[in-house]
Amino acid sequence: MTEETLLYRQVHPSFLDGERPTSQVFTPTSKDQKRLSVYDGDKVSAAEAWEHYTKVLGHKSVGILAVQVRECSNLGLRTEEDPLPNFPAHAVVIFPEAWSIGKVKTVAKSLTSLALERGWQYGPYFGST
Amino acid sequence: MREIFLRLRFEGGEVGYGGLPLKMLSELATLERLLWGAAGELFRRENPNAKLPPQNTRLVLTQLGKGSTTAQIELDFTKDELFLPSAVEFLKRARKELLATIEEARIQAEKTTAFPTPLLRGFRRLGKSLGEVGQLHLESPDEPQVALLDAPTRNRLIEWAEGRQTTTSSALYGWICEIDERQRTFEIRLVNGKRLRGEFREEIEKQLIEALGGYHYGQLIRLDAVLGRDEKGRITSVKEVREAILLDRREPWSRLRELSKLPEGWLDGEGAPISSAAKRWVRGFLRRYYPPTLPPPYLYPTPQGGISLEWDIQPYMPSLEIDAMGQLGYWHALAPSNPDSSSEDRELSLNDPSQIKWLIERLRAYDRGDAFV
Repeated sequence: MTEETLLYRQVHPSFLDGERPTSQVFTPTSKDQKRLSVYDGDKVSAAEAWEHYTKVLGHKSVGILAVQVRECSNLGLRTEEDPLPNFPAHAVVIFPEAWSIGKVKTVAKSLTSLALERGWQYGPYFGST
Repeated sequence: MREIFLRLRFEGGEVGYGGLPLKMLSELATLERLLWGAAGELFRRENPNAKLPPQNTRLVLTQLGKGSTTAQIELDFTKDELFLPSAVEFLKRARKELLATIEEARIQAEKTTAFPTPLLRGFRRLGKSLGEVGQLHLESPDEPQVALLDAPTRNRLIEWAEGRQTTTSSALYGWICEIDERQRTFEIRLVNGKRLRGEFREEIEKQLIEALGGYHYGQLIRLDAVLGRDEKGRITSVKEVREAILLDRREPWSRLRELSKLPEGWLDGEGAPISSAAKRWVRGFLRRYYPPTLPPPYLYPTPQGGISLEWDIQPYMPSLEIDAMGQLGYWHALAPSNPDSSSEDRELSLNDPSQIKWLIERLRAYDRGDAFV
């Protein structure tokens, strides 16, 4: 991954109200343990990432938003490649353990804002899985 | 039987040039409604438990005079001694009171007549075609009695009807529930449930029609209007609509219903269903506290079974995350361009009205753009 690499994040259908995504898209859940799963844009295209996520992993996604590695590091986030057996393009955006809820939200909103400014990389396809 | 009831003479303005505008006919129909309404009311005052018998009585336009600037209305009725007191008698009393009321308004006296004041609202339509310079002379053959209706007189009659003390320019928020394109009138249901009627200009017709089309979807509209208010400051009428702005079409209720259907594990195996407590709180907040002047929040489920309310008030992106118990809320807002220096977060007790008030005030401040001033 380079500073310019795009990191693709899937958007769950319930995380869209109308056409507006929630900043929770870029907020790690408790299960994530402050490691936000993304696709490494150097390894797959946005369309391939969506195909993989919905068809291979069987998850739901209406489309893909993306942030750059540099944008993450500017906000104090680390990024790492994290290939998995069934998910070779897997990468993670790591939120520091010590961050408060408020700080996590601040950064998640900033990432959402940057991603929306960049525009949808794939979709959104309403009514799709 | 038939007898002359009222003679009308039009002068000046649009009605004075060799023809009666057709729209004046609908105004004359208003005159008839006004007279019947007054006759009925006068009758009820003397006979509280009875209804005015109609006795096959009607008012008919029988003549249009030279150049169509004079008209005659006749009373057509069946004489029947069985019905006493008669509709004819009360219609004549209504006429007498009406003409006297118009005259009182014309000479700028106080209203002393028995004519039912609320019915004077009919003058919002009656005489409208006269414009600023036209006049309508009304003459009763019985007394004889005359009255002259012109624009200032008409305005005063309308003021009496509305008990208006003042007019103010204000913004009205509500839903358009009716439009009469021919009469160019509309009805708006305000957020407090009150309904008001008003007239509209061609320039805002499109917005009103669109708002009417979205009525069942909760399409909110803002009308910048001159409003009539009574002595207590309550809105009594819409005098003039200067601008109509369709507000954000989203309404949170259907979204809330949609979120209610999320099953266990909705977030790819993770994610609790939205709790009833969280839904109840959001519903109550939106119904009881949320000002219609603010943009409606976007609603999202949280994986813990709560609800996240988010606002697109740029550049702050404020949000309130409700826990599954519907008791604690986490408020957060920032300016994305400068996240370190311009963000705030706070935990709120959702059952504390003072904290709800604080929340609303913050939202207003963000909406105005002076949250960090």
